[in-house]
Amino acid sequence: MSALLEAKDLERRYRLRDGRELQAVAGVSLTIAPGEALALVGESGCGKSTLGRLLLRLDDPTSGTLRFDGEEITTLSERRLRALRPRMQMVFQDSYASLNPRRTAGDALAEPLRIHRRPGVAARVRELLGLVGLPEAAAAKFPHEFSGGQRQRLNIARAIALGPALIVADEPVSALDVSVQAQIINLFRDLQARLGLACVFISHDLAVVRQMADRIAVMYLGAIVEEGEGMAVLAAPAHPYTRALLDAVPRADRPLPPPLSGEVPSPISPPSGCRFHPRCPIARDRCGIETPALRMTGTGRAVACHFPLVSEAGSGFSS
Amino acid sequence: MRDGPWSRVWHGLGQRRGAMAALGLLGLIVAASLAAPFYAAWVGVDPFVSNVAGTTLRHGQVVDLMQPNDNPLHLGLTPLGPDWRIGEAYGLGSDAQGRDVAARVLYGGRNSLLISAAAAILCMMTATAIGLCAGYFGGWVDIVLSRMLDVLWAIPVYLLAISLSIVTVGHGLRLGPVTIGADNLLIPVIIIALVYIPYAARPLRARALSLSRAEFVMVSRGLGASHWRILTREILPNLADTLVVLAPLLMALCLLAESSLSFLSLGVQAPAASWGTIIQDGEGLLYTRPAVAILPGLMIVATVLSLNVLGDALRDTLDPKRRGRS
Repeated sequence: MSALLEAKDLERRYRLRDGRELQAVAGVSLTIAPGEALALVGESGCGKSTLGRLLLRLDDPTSGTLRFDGEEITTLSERRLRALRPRMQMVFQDSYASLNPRRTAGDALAEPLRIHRRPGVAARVRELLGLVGLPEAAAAKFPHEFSGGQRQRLNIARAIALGPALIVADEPVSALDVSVQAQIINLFRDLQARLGLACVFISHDLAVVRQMADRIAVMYLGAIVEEGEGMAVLAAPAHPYTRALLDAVPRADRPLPPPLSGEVPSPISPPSGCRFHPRCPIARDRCGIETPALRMTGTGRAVACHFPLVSEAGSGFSS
Repeated sequence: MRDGPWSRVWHGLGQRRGAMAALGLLGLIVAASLAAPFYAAWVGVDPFVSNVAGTTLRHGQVVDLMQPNDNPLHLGLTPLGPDWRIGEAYGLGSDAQGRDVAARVLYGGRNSLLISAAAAILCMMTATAIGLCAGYFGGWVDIVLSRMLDVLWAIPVYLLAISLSIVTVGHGLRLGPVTIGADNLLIPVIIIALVYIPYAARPLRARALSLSRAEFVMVSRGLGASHWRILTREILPNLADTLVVLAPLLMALCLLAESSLSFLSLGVQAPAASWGTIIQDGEGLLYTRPAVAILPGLMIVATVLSLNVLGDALRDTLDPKRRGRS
């Protein structure tokens, strides 16, 4: 299957006021197949939101290339990009900030249709409300009159209004109550299956990821450290950072293992060699000198570690 | 629109007695000023022609508009004083040229209010355009526009207004094919609007800047909206709060500027009247007929005061963080 979105060595640097540079995304390569759900996992500040915006060209990469549906879009002008916008959409974490407070829900849903001069706006707005499980009467209400879950439904409805092939969802449920989270996740899965959407699901919550993702990419300090099939990664992580993330999830059947020592290093001056080595429980001398490349280990699994926890055969732990 | 700024404005103002009183006073002043021609026709005076040799009826007797001075030597003439019977010719007395003071104050109010309102509107429109562009596009656009505003703001407002007025008062204003005569009211309107653009543009730019970073703006861009569409449909409607608060405060400033320029003969030109020109007329009569200068002065004070009270009340109503503070 040909890739829907293909990112190669994407990099995003921000120049700070004092002249130093912050490397938010450090050379990420990703492919997303049509209809696939990919989860981007990592701590806050690891660059996953920046990557999400880069993937949709809502932010411009400093270097690297981006292809959407076979077309090079890295340097496409904003004007040319507008023609492609209907095929790629984004849903943000803050459901309230994502809606113009001065527009009714119906107006917000009609906006994408009006921008692209689609016919039958009123009927489509009703259809969209139905698709995300909101009553038709909701169209006349303002954003502040909805609950957080309902607002996120609206944001999702707006994102699918133009029939996109790809949706990037940046922490779409982390601001919601747990009970509402499940509803929104189900809605996502349902829509994904029904509309054949490819989905990049950015999250720090592994429980959410477990339900959503066909594939998982784990990010640390701007780079992908492990990527593979969802269940396999969660069952047997190959990178010590993924292991640490999984260990940090509280479980009833075991005491919580000691957390990672230290803080996430600053992306202004990332550590030499492997970016994770100052906090890695199994780091050796080599890790501080040589940067591990993201390389394939076993079936469909890539890991950027000199001493992966899963052997080449794809099972068992190394010493 | 339950939560729109307009409904909140009406609701909030209704709860504030001071604001309602200010609104009432302002309405009264505006209505009276608009009725100036009717008043002049009703009492039968023409407040735009010199009438030093004229007479008027007072208590059924014909009296000269120019009375002999009441100093011991009876040298020179003093205009007829007020007898405070509003609704009769020369009820508030005459000015040095034998014109009805009451009618002139009303006509002057028309010009003063018209110029300050037009200047405030022109200023806000320009400032909104500048603030929107600077705040939304950022980068070079912002640097250039903001520095221009800084330069304009660095010059004292009155110094700038007076300098510009001195240039235009002799020759009028030529803008390419359009020529505006020296006595046209548009000239003070343009000058006053210009000098207050930085005052209005700065808060609008700040608001536009924070709105431009809101996620709904990024969503709109992601949907493929053009810059124009984002500016006019997403950001501009959210500036309504700021504009509603700004409008009365800016109009008060414009009114003061207009009166000052007119007092210096640099705004409204004779024989037209404005509260500023009437104060100037009254300056020479300050010892004998103080009412000529004091009446338009009181009108200015009342108007500016009620505009400021209104503006403060609007700010308290629309800014929840300030709510409850005085």
